[in-house]
Amino acid sequence: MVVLRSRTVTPQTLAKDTTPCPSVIKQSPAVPLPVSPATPPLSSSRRSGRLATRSPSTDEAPLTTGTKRRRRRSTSAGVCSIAKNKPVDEGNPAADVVKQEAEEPEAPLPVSPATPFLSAHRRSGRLASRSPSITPRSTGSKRRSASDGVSSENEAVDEGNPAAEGVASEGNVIADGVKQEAGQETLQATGRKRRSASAGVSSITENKSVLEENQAAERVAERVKQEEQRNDGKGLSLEENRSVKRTRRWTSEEKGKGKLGEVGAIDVRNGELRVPGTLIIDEGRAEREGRQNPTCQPSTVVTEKANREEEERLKERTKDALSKKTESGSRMDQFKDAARKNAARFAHFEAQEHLQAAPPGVEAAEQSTEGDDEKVEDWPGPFSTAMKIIRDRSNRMNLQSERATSDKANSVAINWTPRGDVGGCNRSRTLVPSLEQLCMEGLAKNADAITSLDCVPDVFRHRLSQLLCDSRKMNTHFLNLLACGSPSEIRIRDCSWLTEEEFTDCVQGLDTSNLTVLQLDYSGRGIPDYVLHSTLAASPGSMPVLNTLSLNGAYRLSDIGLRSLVSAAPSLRCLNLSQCSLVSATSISILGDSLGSSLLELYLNDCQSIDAMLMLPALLKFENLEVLSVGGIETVSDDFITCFVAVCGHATKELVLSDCVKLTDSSLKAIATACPRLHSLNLSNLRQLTDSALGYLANGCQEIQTLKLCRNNFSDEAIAAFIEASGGSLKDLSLNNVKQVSHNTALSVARRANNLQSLDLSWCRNLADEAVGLIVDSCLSLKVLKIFGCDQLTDVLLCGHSNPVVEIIGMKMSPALTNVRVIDAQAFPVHYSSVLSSM
Amino acid sequence: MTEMRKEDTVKLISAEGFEFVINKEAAMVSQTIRNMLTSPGSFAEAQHGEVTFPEISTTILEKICQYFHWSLQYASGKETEFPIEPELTLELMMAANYLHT
Repeated sequence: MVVLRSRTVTPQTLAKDTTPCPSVIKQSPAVPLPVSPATPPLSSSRRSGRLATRSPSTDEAPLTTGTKRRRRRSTSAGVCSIAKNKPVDEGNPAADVVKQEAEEPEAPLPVSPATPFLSAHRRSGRLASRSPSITPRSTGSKRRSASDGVSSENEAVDEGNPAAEGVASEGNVIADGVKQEAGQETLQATGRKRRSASAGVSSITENKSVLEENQAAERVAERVKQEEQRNDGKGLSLEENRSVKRTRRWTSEEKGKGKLGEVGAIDVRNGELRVPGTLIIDEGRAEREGRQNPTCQPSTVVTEKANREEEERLKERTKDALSKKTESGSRMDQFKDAARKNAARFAHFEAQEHLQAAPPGVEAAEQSTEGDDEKVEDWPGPFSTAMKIIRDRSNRMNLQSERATSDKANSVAINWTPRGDVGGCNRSRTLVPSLEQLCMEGLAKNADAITSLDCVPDVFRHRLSQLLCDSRKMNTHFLNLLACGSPSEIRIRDCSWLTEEEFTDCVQGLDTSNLTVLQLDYSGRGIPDYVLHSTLAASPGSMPVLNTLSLNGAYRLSDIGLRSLVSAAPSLRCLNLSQCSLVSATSISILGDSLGSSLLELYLNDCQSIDAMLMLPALLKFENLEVLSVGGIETVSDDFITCFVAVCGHATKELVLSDCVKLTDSSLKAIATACPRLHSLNLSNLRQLTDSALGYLANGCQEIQTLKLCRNNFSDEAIAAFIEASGGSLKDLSLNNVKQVSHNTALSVARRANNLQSLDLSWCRNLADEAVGLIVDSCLSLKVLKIFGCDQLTDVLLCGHSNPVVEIIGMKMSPALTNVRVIDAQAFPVHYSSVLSSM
Repeated sequence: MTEMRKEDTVKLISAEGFEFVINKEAAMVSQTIRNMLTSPGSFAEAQHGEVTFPEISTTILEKICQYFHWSLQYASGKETEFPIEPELTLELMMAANYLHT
């Protein structure tokens, strides 16, 4: 067994240091964490006196709740069954008993607060107005009870006290809002939701049986956030509620136990919420569309009227929800319904495309009436010239050959002879593993034993981080290593293991003064808004040199969280908010207002709450935007593209428009005319595009280096002509599943695409060995060739080509990942411009 | 053991001054060394057949030389495992990166 020693990295120390340092073994926490303060409802109820009679019952209630709810309960009640709270669990069992008494001498709150659940169900204005006052403490205790000690609670108390004073006038409103919010969530599995069904359905018995301390605390935590926001006078009331709602722990839905199909209950007071588990997507979207108007007016003052309206709507909805709940639909039916709703999102249906093509075709026809009649060019430009040549050539071949022209493979002659004998191909193409690679793998295997990354440059840190994420070994230990000192770049592309506590702990000690790149992808679980407020976004300008921020998949990040992040990182250049389902057009306005002139890259793939036309005015504020990625946002239309490129096209270098199925040739025309410096374009799954689109592109964008096509309906000749006309600058070409690709394309690629480094010909069944062989031997810069699904290619290609460098991926059923070596495109944080760092 | 002629060898000198004399072919596994020794201009290294690495310590350089030989062996068909002591790994990786190997 190897004993791992801790050593600093410099060669000098290694040379001089002969005595081994004591081996560092990851130590388990020596001491159970201090007892977390009791849940506020308890203590506060005790303090209030008038509610004293209720408190014992609520004490009992959680403890007698069934095992099903145990896991959720444990976050603050101390039943240690949540795995993530491992270090805490040791402390918690003890905390259980102690907790309930420990609270009383603590934190003297001036107001005698009612228990939140009580206030909700008592529905008295006065009581309700008190509830916010206890919320700060509950936030502290709930959120940090598992990990921090009394200090956090004191902080919360401090927050709470001024808030409590200021709350009087808004007490009623807040209470209503609270109730509404409470009324929103009426799923049976989560007791706290049911508790406060606003239509007065809630009963004391319900409360008793379902209420759990921590859930009450969670609710209260939400409220305090809500209340704080209102006290700040910032943000939209609706979004606050929404963001607050997002702060609850895993509901049973998130864990997959929730009742399916209960749309009205869960979702969308303002239509922009994404329900966890993506079960109710379509309804959510429909409601979102219906509710766009009321919700998107920015209002900084909470108006009672707005709340009342909300209240009514929510009451209706909760009533619906309750009625739905009481129906006894079978679980299988619900699963099927959910699957049906979700299928459209994840599968590609050919038939559906045709059906859908009809209605959009109608609108598209109106827009592009001029385009239909126009030719691609008025003058014989390079594209049409190329097309003509290619067509003539194939016609000539067809005429010459005696056979029927149905055999497309013979329409164009390809001269390529494989070198060497096929039989003797034993080149396994496995290059000798480099020492760097071996070391990297060794480090990844033993990552827990690394004690310091002090002298390791960022490049290695990133590679190591990537390896660890890929092998699912990433953990807090390595995160802390990355966060040591004053790091300049932290990149973790999979933070799905990261919990809120771990994140808070790590980031609280992080010195962000030198941080230029922060990537915490798929960190939805660990990064809700309030955690951001207390850590990264705690103060404006706390990340002064941060220029790249990637929070891909932060599904708990809302507009408010984003606002504070943006104020904390004023020099942001590149922002990735893909798959952040709570981010709406409001966020884009926020970004436009504060970063309009400096933001260079914006990635919004799959942000389902964003309506393209609504965010358009804000988008136009970005003067220098180089990269816009709106893949997956279905509301992107030709109008959107046309308007956007008209204003911002001069700077645009990369556009990702994959899955924006409404787009037609007219948007490509607009892009071609307005974006002369376009370097990269992704047109995956845009089935309405025709050959003219390629024509526009060939003529308009001469500097295209990356073109990603997938499942498009372009013809072989058109692609060939495109490459002839402007393929000289192509470095990365993807023709994945472009069915009609054939020998014309192969000839053009071989002839013109001299700078091609990466080529994807997966699923192009019309290419024979000769065609691909010609490409491989002619494109001397080619490093990666992907041919997944090309069964027609044989060893003749593999062994017969003479390109020493190229790596052919996708044949022979080899494990895909071992062969994929991505060209290191992420050399710099910002892709197209250099960002000067002040340090 | 066959006699190693002077023309076939290069000398790699570590930070502490230790000298490792290895086959040229082995040394050429490292792209950096290969460039130093074969570039058209006449580097001092090419002339004397010596390369000094002031930032690479002896243990690391020794391991690197072992890697060179292992790599030649691997390429000729004999595929074995290359053992790396964990405490060397971090430094070795950075040295390997520098040597482009």
